[in-house]
Amino acid sequence: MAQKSSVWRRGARLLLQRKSALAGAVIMLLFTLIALLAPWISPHDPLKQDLNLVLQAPSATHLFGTDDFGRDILSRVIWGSRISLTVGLIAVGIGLIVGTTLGAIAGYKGGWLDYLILGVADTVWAFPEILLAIALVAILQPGLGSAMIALGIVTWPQYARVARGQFMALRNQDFVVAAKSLGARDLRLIWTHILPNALSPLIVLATMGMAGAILVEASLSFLGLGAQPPQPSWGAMLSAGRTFIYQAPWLTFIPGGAIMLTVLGFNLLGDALRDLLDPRHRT
Amino acid sequence: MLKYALKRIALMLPVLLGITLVAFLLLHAAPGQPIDLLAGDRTPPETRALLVKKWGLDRPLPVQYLQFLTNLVHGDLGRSILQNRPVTLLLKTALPITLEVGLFGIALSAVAGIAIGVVSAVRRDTLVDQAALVGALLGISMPNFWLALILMYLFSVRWQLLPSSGYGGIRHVILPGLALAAGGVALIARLTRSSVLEVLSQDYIRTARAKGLPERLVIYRHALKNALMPVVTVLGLRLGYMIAGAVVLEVVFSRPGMGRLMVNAILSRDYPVVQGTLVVLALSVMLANLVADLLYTAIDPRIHYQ
Amino acid sequence: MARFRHLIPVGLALALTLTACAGGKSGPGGSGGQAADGKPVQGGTLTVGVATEPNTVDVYQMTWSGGLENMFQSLLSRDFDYKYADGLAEKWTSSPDGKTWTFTLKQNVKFHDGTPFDAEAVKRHFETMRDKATAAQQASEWEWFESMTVVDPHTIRFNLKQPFPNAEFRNSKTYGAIQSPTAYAQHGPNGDKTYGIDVAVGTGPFKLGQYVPGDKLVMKRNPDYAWAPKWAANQGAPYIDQLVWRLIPDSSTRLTELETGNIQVLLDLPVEQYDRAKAISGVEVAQRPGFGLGYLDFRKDKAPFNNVKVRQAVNLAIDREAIVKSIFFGHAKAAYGLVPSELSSYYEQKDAHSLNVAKAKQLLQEAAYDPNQTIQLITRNRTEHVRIAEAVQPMLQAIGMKVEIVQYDAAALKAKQKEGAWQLAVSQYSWDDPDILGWFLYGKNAPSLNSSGWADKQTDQLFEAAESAPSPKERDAKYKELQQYLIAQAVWAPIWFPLSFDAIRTDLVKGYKTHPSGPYFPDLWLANGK
Repeated sequence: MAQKSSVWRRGARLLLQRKSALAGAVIMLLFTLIALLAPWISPHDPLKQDLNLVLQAPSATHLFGTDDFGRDILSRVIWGSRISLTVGLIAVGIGLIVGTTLGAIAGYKGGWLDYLILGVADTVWAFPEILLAIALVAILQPGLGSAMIALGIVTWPQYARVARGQFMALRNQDFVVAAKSLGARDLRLIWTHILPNALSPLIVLATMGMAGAILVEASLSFLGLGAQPPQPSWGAMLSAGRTFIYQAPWLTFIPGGAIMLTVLGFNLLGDALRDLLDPRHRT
Repeated sequence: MLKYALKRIALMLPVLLGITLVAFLLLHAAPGQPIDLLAGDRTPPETRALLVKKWGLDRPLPVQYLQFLTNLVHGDLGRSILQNRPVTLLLKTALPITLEVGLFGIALSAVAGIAIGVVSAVRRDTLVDQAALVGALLGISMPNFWLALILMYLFSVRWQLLPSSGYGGIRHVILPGLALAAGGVALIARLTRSSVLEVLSQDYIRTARAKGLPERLVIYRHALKNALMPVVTVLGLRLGYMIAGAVVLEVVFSRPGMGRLMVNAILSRDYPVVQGTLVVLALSVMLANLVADLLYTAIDPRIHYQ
Repeated sequence: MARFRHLIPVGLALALTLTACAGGKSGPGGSGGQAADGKPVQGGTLTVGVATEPNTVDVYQMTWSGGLENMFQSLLSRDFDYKYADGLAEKWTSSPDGKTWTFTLKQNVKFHDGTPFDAEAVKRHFETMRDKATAAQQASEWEWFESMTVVDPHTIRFNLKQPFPNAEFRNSKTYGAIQSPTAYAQHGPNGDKTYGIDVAVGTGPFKLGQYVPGDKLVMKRNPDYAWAPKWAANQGAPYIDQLVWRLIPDSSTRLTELETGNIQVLLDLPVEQYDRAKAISGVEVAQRPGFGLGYLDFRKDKAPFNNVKVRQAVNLAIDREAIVKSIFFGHAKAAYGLVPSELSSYYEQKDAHSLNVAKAKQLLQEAAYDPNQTIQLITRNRTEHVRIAEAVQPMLQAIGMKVEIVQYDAAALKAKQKEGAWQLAVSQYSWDDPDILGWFLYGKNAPSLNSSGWADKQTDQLFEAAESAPSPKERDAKYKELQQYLIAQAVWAPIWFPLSFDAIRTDLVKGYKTHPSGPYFPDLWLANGK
């Protein structure tokens, strides 16, 4: 009896998971498509100003209205998806590669290297991430490039920690020990035997990391440290729109909504992936 | 346990040292000097040189850093270069302003998050559960400064119920607290839900149920207590996030707290203020983590630390 | 270069807050008046919301004086018509040869610490100001006289080497306000307190209550105050008990606070909020002259802007009317000159600054401008200048100039200026005297103040002639000559003359009358006395 209901529950749960995963995938796919097809689907030039048409409410010609320079907001949101996704991808890429490499070394080698890498990771992790990012951008020069690098630097410790844990657990597993006794070299061992097995939690983390990166980029741009005008970054649009929240709330609501949707997509997908790839977290 | 706590505290030192060193190097690598903001454009070069000397900025970097450490050991965080006041004094005004929102935010996310999480778990897979799940995800996915703007628009402008800026009194804490808590509520709710579900499938719960204890009692007496452990840890970890989240929110809500103090200090290279705030922030985050870990043992006697 | 509004040095910004308004154009807010407001009520706290706070309340060290004219007084003041009027001095004269200025001081004036204000105090004050050890920010503003003579306890004489018609101007600024020498000696640099934060002593209608940098400045009523300028409606101590200046950097938040009544006066309302502020019931929006200029500055000693034709081309590429209309929503004036249009020395040349894309393109061609280079346009982040940069960019694009915008924080911006690592910058100054041209373009002020690489003999000669002109009239004429020359050289691309707006809850605050420098607080009272 109990057995039976649990099976049903599991089935229902899986369906539920699939549904949310589906939703996540659809949202992501949608934004990826929008980003890729921006030049073709964007109704107007996102940078074209028309100082005679500033702060127009949504209408047939401008579905989402115009901003304080008379630019079409829909077009800017469409092009903005490119910035958000690119920043997310590159920032996460940097964090993932640096973090995994260092984490792998720490976990596989152990000893003083482990202590050193872990110590550095803990130090970086102890900073509130936005503050560290602000300081880094201040050094580098405000801009998207700096923001991406800063985000990578801020986030690598979490990948390092997870990778380290995985490698520590895996290096003593039978199949690794066996391969080692057969004379496999470290690098080969790591690449072909350990990494594939260590990957799944990292993928989950990276998917969630995309969400985080998009949010932090928005915060940086909100503070004027990320995308530089006239680039249509969602965070920068929100920041500019804030000034006009009373006359023209769509300037704030629309890019904010775009950020929320994209981040939601990544979170949904990350959730589903976690459930699929990491049985310990199954709910 | 005391030994464990001491060991953890000892481990904080190198991290703290690392943080201050990194911050020190970062700031000095950034272009610009605080003196340039302090001195007007008409300030003659001799006066400027005098100021540089007065603030010890002409000394080699290692010497400056060592001086900072020496002062730190004596409990002296130095003086703000731009405001010419002791950093401790600035912190004394700024810290409570951040803490009141941070603690309110944490309390709110704990209470609301646990409540939602338990209900979700108990009514698993019902409409309520699904709604809570989606709501939680939305909460995490929203930029908090955006939520802040919307809250401000509704509560301060539209309905004129709450003040939109400033501090002093609970009314000023509500909006920033809500904006800050949104992400936390979502996280705690999800965590509580999965944790409760996991505990509910454990043997001792089955035993309790088999013994015929009422379901309500099973959940609240047995399951919840154990399910709360991971929640406590995460709450400890959240403190750091809360402070980070406060950075942008304090700009939006015009609250002269730690976040704004620090952002302005970074942007004007007010080295002592950045260092001082950082030490206090990092220390409080690490202590919060430690307390969370120790609470673990208090909740679950099965865990022992060496 | 870059008189960025928020770092405005010296008294630049002081102009905004202390005095203003040539010709006495008062804004639409001047209507209220006291007659209609009934009998003044004593008591209460008036809270003012501001975007910028003074860096310190020490006259010697301040670089921004917003609100401090309520604590400190200068020898002179400016009345509602922007004319020089009595301040701490009741009479003042210049000798026929222009080489002495004599000020007769008001009697029975006391500093907030109870010490008497007299000629000796004035002398000691300016001596401290000029003392190198004080490292005063405005020390160089007080080099125009050679020595001071205490004629009697209530008469002070400034002795000059050559005529200086601008002495009245300097003595009407808050940076020339007199603070108590006794208090400064006791609490100053090596004293027992942090002067300028914990303690500061002047003679004004309000005294320092509490200063919490980054948050608020609390001023308390000075009950002894009985030496108001003659133009003030209230000749005695202020009606309100407390005057609180709250720093609210976010402009939307600031306006919301006005709407909810948490602040009763909002200074420097951003133009995009003009309509919204007007729509709030009980709020009156008063316009004041902005006394400033927003412009593009060029790095003039390096290619491509070392070529006057390139600079002229930029000047012809900018559609000032469009910027005023769309970026400022009409609440500014298109700038066709280099000094504020309210000044008697104002000179304008419309054709040099009007949109003419064809001619601009031709000029670039003549200059052999390389259209493939990317010009960096720098601005300070988190300021309205970013929007100006954003509007200007496509206009320059239209004449074939590729421009990239980079925003810096205040410290990095300063560093970039010092290194000369910039080409084009959005700049702004607030100042009500043409000597501002010398600040930024006089050879001797390079490189700290004149940081745009302008070293030009003729500019120097014209400026020196203007500054040592024997009379205000001749001074104006010389300055017009200088402006004509500088416009021909296209040293800047002027864009807009700002206007200042204050929003006042006239339902809560009574006795308000527009003064060119903004509300005169001792005249105000709270409707309910709270």
